Amino acid sequence: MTTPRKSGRRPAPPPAPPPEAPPPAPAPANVPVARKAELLERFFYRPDEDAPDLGLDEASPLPEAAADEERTEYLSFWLSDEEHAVPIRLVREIQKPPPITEVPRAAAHVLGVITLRGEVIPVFDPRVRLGLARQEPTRDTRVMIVDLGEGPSALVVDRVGGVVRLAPSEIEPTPHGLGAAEGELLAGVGRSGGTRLLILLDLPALLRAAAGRTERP
Amino acid sequence: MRPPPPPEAAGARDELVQLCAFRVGGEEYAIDIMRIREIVPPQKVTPVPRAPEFIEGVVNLRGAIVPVVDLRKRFGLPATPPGRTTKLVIALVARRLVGLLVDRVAEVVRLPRSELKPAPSMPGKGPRIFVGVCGPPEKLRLLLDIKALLASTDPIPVDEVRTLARGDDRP
Repeated sequence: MTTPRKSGRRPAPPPAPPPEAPPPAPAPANVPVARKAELLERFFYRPDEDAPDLGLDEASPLPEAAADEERTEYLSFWLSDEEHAVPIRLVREIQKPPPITEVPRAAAHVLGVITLRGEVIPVFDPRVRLGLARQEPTRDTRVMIVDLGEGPSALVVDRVGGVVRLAPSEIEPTPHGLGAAEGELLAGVGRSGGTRLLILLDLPALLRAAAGRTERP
Repeated sequence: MRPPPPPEAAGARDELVQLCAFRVGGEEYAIDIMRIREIVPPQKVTPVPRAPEFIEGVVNLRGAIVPVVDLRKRFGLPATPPGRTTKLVIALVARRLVGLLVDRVAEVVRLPRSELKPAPSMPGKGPRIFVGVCGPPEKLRLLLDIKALLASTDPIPVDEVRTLARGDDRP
């Protein structure tokens, strides 16, 4: 990105183009290259960007938007009618499921591999590890590509939910009473808005278990 | 007169950016994921009499009053009742929240900054709400400037922009 846009409050754009853009060559279009690049900058969020006043007295700025407390963003998704979530920074992308090439003699939770833009990625079914009922694929089924820093893995999910922000106070420890195997794969339970429960998955544990053990249920 | 820089010149500082893509009508759009606070199912909207035309009203999101823009309506598309996939994308604009009603949230994509191309020039003086494109020609996504979308009540020539985006999609 370019130098910080301090002049964001002025309605007119700054007269000089950003440093790394050359003086615009006369283009067939009537908008010079530099101006286009500037417009593209407006796509990205900056807390100090200028926003139009909607004239809504009630549209108060959200208190935590001004002083961002430690809220982590999670991506929620559904496995067997239960809503789960993982930190969104670990999610690289979400795709409709491409064809899965099976890997012979793999464990039950390893569905095979997929190819994504030339990259071969292993695909796992998290429901098997979590002891959840398997679901038939539907129109909403997706693969969630995650990357913990050692290469991508894909998880099949029944449906993608959305982005949820959770403060530490909204996360409770995993309840007891779960089977030992499943319990260690969870990172707690998130409570969004007081009512919505999200089962937080411990992705490193889930993927480690996926990579290591090969016993069948 | 220097030639324009080759596309690879941006590579030195080609950071990864994350976008959230969604569908409105038959087209796909994207916004910076840093804007997205939440994605929720559509809720009942309370109309606000003195609000700009494109604001449907407000919803109560855990105590915060959030104005809602129906993007179908804003793009001049016929209204349809909310479907199973309709979502309200709660987005940040300069520390304020705005809810964007979309037909379907498509996907979250992470890609190099250089893959976001500036928008083609548009005729007329309509609000410049499309500031770029990304993706291959068969899966083109228009990059939205939410601020511009909220700054004006002028109709948005979505079809024109789409045509231009396809035609001008040169590296």
